Amino acid sequence: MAAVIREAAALGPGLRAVWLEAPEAAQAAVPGQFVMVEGGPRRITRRPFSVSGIDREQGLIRLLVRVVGPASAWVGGLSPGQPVGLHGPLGRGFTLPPAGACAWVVGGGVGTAPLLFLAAELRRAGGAVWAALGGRTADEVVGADELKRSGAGVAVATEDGSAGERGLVTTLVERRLAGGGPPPATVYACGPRGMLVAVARRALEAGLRCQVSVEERMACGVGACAGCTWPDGRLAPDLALRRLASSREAPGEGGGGGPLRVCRDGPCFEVVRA
Amino acid sequence: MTGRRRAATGGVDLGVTAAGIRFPNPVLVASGTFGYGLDYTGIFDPGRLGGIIVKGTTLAPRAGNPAPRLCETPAGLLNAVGLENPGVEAVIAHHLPALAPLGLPVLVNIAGENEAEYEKLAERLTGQPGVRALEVNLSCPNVRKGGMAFGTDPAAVERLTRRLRKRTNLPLFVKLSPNVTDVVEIARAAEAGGADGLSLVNTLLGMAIEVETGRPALGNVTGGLSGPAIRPVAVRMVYQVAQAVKVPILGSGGISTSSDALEFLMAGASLVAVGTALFADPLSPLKIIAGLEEFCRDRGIRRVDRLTGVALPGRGGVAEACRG
Ligand SMILES: Cc1cc2nc3c(=O)[nH]c(=O)nc-3n(C[C@H](O)[C@H](O)[C@H](O)COP(=O)(O)OP(=O)(O)OC[C@H]3O[C@@H](n4cnc5c(N)ncnc54)[C@H](O)[C@@H]3O)c2cc1C
Ligand SMILES: Cc1cc2nc3c(=O)[nH]c(=O)nc-3n(C[C@H](O)[C@H](O)[C@H](O)COP(=O)(O)O)c2cc1C
Ligand code: FES
Repeated sequence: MAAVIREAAALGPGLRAVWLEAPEAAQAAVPGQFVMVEGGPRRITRRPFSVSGIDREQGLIRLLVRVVGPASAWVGGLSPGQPVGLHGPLGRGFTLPPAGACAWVVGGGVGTAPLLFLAAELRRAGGAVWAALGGRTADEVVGADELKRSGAGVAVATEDGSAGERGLVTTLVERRLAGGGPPPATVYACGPRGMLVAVARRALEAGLRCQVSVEERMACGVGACAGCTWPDGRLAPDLALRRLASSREAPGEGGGGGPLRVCRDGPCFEVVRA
Repeated sequence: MTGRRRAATGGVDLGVTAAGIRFPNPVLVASGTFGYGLDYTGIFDPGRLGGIIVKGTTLAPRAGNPAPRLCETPAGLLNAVGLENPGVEAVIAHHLPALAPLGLPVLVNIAGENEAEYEKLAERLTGQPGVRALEVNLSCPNVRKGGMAFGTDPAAVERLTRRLRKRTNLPLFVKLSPNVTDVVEIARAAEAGGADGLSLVNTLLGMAIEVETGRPALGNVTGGLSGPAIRPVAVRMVYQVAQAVKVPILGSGGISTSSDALEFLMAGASLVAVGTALFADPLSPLKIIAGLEEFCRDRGIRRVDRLTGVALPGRGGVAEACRG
């Protein structure tokens, strides 16, 4: 229930990588799952952070923390040896395609965090990974080097053109779709909601499966408080979310209209036409 | 140190009997923060609690309010869940049977839009296995009809309690709203109507504005404030109500530590419920139970129920509890 910080380092301005000693979580976590982390001595709720990587042998999990307010500043500022309250891994992760299949990952800002863990698992299973990463500025683009090192193809777009090409990550996806290369088994996306909507629409139009990890404010993280529910279970008026059965299985039934608790039914969902 | 030595010879009795129900210890979990009792099972064994108050349940399923439903504030949490729940039939068919093996007292929190709905809920839940009492939610600030609209009018509270009293033999804990000028008047009305116990307090009506966008922070605009921020208000209300009624009080409002729980007991509560503190640390109810036991053991207090009301006028404080 408490984890000790093993290592913490800056990855860029306002972005920290924190490795925690959490052997059980490291064993159990699948890509797309998250942990609830204490946000400081006076915080009222723990905060959700995606597992962005694991070291099973050493029993470590990694969080990538974008500092946006008091709780993320506190978590990002933890130093080695410090204990922190935490529970998890929680939620339903992504469903992985058959071993060796090709997948695309599309990340906006720190939304790339769960996709780094996913890409590592996909690469381990021998799959080809292509990543499209975006942010407003170069500082907001997360994980490009790590993905390149893992052998993934990486394309970057920023709104101000300070890294990669100027524009949105959706443009990269559109061009790749038009390029006529081998289609991926699944397009995985995590980032701002507008980006998820745009990417999911393009993927579904092209006849591809699309899974997204969505964000909502949380209090319990375990399905007990109904604080994180999307009452209509939709990503957009035309896009419904469907629960994923669990990792490595076929998509589950349900969802697509009824209330969904992001923490327990998600945070990863399959996107289907409403 | 003498207290500690005494502990070696005799344990502390944490059990409490209230409204005819035997609770293994006085620490329950508050409605709406613990789902239907099993969501935290991966983190701790809910069988160690004093009892479970399940989510506010309505006749028909409810999808609840639009997101965002939560907003953290200084020392508090605003929520506007809006009574999302699967409806009483699903609760009876799926949730209550799953809870039964724990063998704990289960209180079902009920919410209606009108008196007839409350009556139907009470009838439907009567005789269901495991249900030991109803907590009648007359205080939800997040729904347009029913809820707090009832709980702020003493005549309506008395009438509804009396009608429910006729429909069920289950003990009734009427849950009061702090959003009133005189909570004592409402408490007296519930007691006069036949309540077996009173729960107080529910959340305080509040709101927050996100200044970057100039929009309300919650989808529902207003929400209920819980957590340490409301604790002094809740303690004051328990203290006032305890002097005016004879029925037992289940106190809640910002209880995070055993010292917080002791404040409520000393102010006159027989039982306490922990809600928002679960979100900072899911183990807090267990830590509170352990802390209560330690407090009693260190002072040679043999039964935790001896502490109820010791802070009230004319009572003898902790010294009184140590004597018996
Ligand atoms: C499933 C999930 C996975 C996430 N993974 C990551 C991650 O890997 N890295 C990362 O940097 N961030 C992640 N986040 C977001 C992170 O939880 C928030 O940035 C953090 O809670 C903000 O807290 P704060 O006090 O620093 O900022 P605040 O000042 O509280 O808020 C800043 C913003 O954070 C969001 N937020 C506020 N309260 C909550 C809450 N209780 N739960 C969720 N979001 C909230 C709101 O959008 C708010 O506008 C994730 C969120 C979710 C739901
Ligand atoms: C997310 C949330 C949901 C709640 N839902 C209900 C509910 O359904 N019915 C009810 O009577 N009270 C509900 N409450 C109020 C709590 O049961 C409790 O009375 C209140 O939060 C004060 O205690 P606390 O500060 O320990 O949380 C809810 C509170 C929270 C934070
Ligand atoms: S955060 Fe409590 S139900 Fe999802």
